[in-house]
Amino acid sequence: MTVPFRIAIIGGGTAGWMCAAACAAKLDLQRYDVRLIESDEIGIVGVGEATLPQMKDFNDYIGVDEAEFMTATQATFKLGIEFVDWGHIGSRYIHPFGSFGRPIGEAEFFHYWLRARQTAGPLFDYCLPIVAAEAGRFDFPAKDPADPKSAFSYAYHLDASLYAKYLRGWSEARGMQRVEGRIIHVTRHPESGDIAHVMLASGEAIAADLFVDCSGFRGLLIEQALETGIEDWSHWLPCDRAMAVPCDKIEGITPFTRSTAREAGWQWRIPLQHRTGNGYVYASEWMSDDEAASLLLARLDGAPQADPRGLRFKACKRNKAWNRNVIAMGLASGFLEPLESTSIYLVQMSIAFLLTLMPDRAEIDPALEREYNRVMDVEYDRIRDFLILHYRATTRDDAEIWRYCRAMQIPESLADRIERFRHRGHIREYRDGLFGPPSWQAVFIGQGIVPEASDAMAELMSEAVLTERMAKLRGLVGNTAAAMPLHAETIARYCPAGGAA
Amino acid sequence: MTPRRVAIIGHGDAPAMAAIALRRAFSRVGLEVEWIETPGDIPAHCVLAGLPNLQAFHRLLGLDTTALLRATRGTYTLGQQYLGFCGGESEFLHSYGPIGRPIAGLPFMQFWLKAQAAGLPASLGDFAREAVAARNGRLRVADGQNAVATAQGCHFDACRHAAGLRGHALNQGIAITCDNAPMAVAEKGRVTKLRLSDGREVRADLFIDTTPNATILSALGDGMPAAAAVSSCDRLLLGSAAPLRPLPLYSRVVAHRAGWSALYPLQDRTGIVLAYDNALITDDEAAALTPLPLTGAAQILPLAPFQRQRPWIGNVVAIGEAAGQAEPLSATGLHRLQIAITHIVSLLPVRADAMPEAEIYNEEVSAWHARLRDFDALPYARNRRAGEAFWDAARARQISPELEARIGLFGARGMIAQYNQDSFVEDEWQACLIGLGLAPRSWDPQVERVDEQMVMADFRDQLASIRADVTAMESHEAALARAMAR
Repeated sequence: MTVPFRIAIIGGGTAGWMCAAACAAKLDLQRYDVRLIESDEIGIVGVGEATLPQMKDFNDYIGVDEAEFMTATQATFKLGIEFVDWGHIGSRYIHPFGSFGRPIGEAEFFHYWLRARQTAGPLFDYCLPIVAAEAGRFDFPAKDPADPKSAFSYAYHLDASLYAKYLRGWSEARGMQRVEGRIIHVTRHPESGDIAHVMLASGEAIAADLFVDCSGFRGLLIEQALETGIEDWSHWLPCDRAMAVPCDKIEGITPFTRSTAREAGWQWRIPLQHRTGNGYVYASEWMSDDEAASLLLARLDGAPQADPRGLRFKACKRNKAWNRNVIAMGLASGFLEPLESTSIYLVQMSIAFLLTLMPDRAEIDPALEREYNRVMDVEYDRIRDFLILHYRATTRDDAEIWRYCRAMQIPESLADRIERFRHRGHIREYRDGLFGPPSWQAVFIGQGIVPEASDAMAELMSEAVLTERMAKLRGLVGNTAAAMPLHAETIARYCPAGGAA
Repeated sequence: MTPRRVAIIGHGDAPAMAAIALRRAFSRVGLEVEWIETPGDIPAHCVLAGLPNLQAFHRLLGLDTTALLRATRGTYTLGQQYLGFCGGESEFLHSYGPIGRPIAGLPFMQFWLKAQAAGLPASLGDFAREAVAARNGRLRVADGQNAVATAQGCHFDACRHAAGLRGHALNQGIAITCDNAPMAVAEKGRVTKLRLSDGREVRADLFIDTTPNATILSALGDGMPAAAAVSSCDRLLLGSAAPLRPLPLYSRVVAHRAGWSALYPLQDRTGIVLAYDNALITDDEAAALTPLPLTGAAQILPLAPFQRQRPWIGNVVAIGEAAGQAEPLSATGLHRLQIAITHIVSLLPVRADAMPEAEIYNEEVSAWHARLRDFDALPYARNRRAGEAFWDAARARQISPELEARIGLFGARGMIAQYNQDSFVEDEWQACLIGLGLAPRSWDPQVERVDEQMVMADFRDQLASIRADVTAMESHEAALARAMAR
């Protein structure tokens, strides 16, 4: 038996504990000596978090019980995100976790809808998770793809600080070592330049072969020690602050996140079992903190439970998420505003990639680092373009931020996408990862970008057959949704957290 | 303003397949397809190879693969064997189909690497059903029974294949006009019409150019092709040898001191291809390197690989010989046509006056070609024939950053970096990398958490079920006899 490979996870927020839990579940702790260092003195950013369906894959992968985890985190189900006032004031649509329609011929369903849209009604009527979400209903998807109740997935709304706490207990029960202490100094190896050890306030020095930097925005190791630098995206995503406040919940629990476009950014609404999370993401160039706080408080649907708390950030990606012997995760690896609930998704992808590429000796093979940075760059770049689209696809001119976004230069990759969609509804598909064609279709159509022509393949069906099939499908979606239990009922039966926490 | 007419110019498989695909997909919405057939000939000895997914393309074309095998005296193939790339008698098989099955949600390769290090005698190929079947001369063609068919491709005699395709085009009602030299008339960056030798004019909204010199695309200027060589081979020698008995279920490429030779089994002959660097050996010396004695005269052709970076300009798409030429190490000519034509079908322009589809097509098809080129560059880059000028130079040759990264990652962890467009799956890359002697330095640490006894039991079960499965398959001859009798 050789000396164990030492891993130190720096920071115990959502990212840190997700990483620790995955290590406890998937690594042989005889070979990997893993510890997490956190300080009770440092608060974490968790404000109520909306997630993507991949989070269920992560929990399944490490072996977390769904009902237990949902109960512990006051979680609710999520079928999509409602976007209000984005394309223009008065508009709304849901970006669903599922596809539109079902196969009704040789062409993709979306193109049949394009052809029939004058008579077929809104695209969104053909999507089960949307129709169910609007009716406040939720049920688990069927496994049989022939069942009309299939072809969608779901995510969660949860209290991220409770999730970190839950994973801490879960990980410690499986042998994860937690070290309490505030890091006061980081020492680099004099020759290699790698991080050698971190020094705690207690005077204890902790050395490791690999450091996972989950220290949040400041990037204690990746930035403060290694000066890795960032790729600044704030000219495309100008929002740089947020005010967050929880409020009392109202009757019923919506199975979707809401994002409402505002005069200097947008406001989120995340329903949990015991309360509702709210926040205003805004650009400081066009709004003061005080103004944002008072506008947020004026637009809650329940009584506030605290004073608004401010956050500062900048849209960016770390030049290298893996630099030397440091891997940055979560906010330390970059920041993309939570408009599409991608934060936890990025953390879990970082973890999944790191586990398969985990070094096993102190002399780290550079090919592992290169591949990690390549795949993380792909993830970040795709999400970036998708977020920018939300700001770009608008006819609003009532506020400075919207005028700015309509005029700004956008990445060429996104400009091509918009042009190609407008021309013929074309969406480039990826082998895997975010975001698939239904997501792009939802935002394009929901924010007013409609293709000028449809795929010739969709012309092959006769008008009468098309009309009949569309009507039948719309009815099927409506009936299937109507037969689902209410969201609140499913929660009460499956994962009740009980009362206020 | 939707396109109503497509004109396809050229000779052989490319125009026939493009015409058939477009007509079958779009004649119901009124698209007219005309094939302007230019003179040309197909080398008598040429053999075409189809990968397993050719059958999906055949469905699009309304072609019966079995009937085509019959008409071309073709054979089945389960992969390609590489000999001598690591010197001496070294060999490996690139077989189609998966290698091993995942265990505990982790890739098979990772467990195999660990077991290898602990002394497991079974090779990677022992866990590949198609590889075991190929070496035993057995396969299972889809026959409606319960047992799962093997993943097989085909070999066809090229001349008979082209004749079969032309006949199928006529049966599909495609208008074929023969012309010696159609002239493209261009205006404002678009071709408006073709002028034929008899003065007739052919107007179309979209032109598909398959001519060897891209005569139609050239009318739009631009489109300088980029060199796409994977080696210094600059000549091909084509010939035929007596048929092999029993008929192998794979093609074979054998490295020689200045290139390689290949052998493609057909029912009534064996197709021979020899690629070589004419600066190092003469044509006569090359002829002496054929792996089997030739029956009849060989034919020598120049080889100058190139790839157009923008095969679609304005309203003209170059495919086949007009778009590029590749060194045929993995014999993917037919596969490249499949990529081009399926992309044209899915991107058939929706307007006649503006075709942003061209940019989508150029990006995607270039990416497919780049990965195909990587696949052929790999055995060169990682050859181990030290001390031979041709092979020493091949190792020093520059490869794409993507291939470089793939080799690097495989060496570090036995993983294959994923790209969006790739004709070959992870397992096929792994078979070649391992076959070329690349030994990964580590494996996924998550493997250590899976019980070793369980893994060993799983391995034994996999090996036993492949053996039993292959024993129950039929011989190549028997499968062909059934195909010929239908």
